[in-house]
Amino acid sequence: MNCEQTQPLLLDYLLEETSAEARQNIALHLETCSTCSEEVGRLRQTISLVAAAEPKEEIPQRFRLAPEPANWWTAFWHSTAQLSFATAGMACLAVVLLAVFQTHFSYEQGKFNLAFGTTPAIAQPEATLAIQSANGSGSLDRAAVLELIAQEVAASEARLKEETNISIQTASQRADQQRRSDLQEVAESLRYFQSTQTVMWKEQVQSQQVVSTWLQQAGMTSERP
Amino acid sequence: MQVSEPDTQLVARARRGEMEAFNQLISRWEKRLYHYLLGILRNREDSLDLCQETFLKAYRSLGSLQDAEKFSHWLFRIAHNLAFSQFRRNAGQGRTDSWPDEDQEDALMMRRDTAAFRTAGMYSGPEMELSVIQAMETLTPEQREAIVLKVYQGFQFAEIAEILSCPVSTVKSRIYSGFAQLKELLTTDRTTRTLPPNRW
Repeated sequence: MNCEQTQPLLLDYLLEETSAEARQNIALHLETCSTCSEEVGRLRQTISLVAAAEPKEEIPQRFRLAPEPANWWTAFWHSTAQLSFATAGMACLAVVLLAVFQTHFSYEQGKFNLAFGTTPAIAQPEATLAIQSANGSGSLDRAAVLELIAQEVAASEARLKEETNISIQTASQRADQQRRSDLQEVAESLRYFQSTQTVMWKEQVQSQQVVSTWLQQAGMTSERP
Repeated sequence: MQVSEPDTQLVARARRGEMEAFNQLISRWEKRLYHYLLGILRNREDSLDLCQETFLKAYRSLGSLQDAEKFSHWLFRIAHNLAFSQFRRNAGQGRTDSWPDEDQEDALMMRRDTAAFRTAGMYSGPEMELSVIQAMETLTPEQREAIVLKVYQGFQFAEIAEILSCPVSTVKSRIYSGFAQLKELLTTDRTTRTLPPNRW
């Protein structure tokens, strides 16, 4: 490389913006060229002076991002507790409204019916109800269905009565057993108390006899009977 | 010893909403960004305000960062744009530190010759530093910014071009002309080369 080729690259050379090959060529040229070496020296001095004057002061204020307080709507949708409370409140309100407005629900032929106020007049089909019998042989008319319902209700009541009687008998037997057991326990306690009292009396009488004997031997009389 | 997390990972975490990750990026870059802004604005309050604004803007537009590897370039580019807007606002308010146009070069040449420069060999320590700062102030803001990004921030020419949104040739031109001017002002043989011989 000659001086004309080298000099435009001297700053790039010092700022390390040249390729390795160009860097090597420039270094070789600088070894032999005093003019370019002198120019490199001045540029290097300039860069060093500028670099030495780099601001070193600490930043007067450190920055840090803090999360912004979310608005109430966002906070509401991110709060499980608030959502639960609101859901419960809405459910309560719905129940109250249903009660106040006497709402009637019904489901008929795949459709939900909703009515407020008086009981809705649901169109009763005049034809027989298409209820499949247990054996699936055919359809029953309304009277037959009512009779079946009555029979089923009677059977259910009978079962309930029977179960109630059994429960009462069982409870009565248990109460009787408990009472007997308690009486036996009381009798045992009384017997034990009586035997204990008897032993104590016997011991007391024996003690008094011994003391009386001692007093008589000593020529003294007992004031106690 | 704890290995610091690279910018790319911190950016990814910040994108997932981890504000603490972005705070780590702030801690890593705030000093360099502040010094960069201070180097081109020459005003501590403005530099601090713009530094804060840069980080806020970066956080809000983190989704637009295409290559997380270039987070630092992108950050400095935001700072550059904000600083440029600041210069334009100041120009509108008639403040003297506005970004100069090309036709103000003559005025700068006058200022350069009347500045309190002496040859660098006559000074040392703080005085030398003051001379360099004064010499830097004679540069155009574009030259000064390019030199600050190169010498103080250590960016490559291509990276500076990306930050400043201009061709690499423009960056080189600004740095070459800036250093030529600084060399003339700061190196020892300036007096003998620039002053008329009959004056002494």
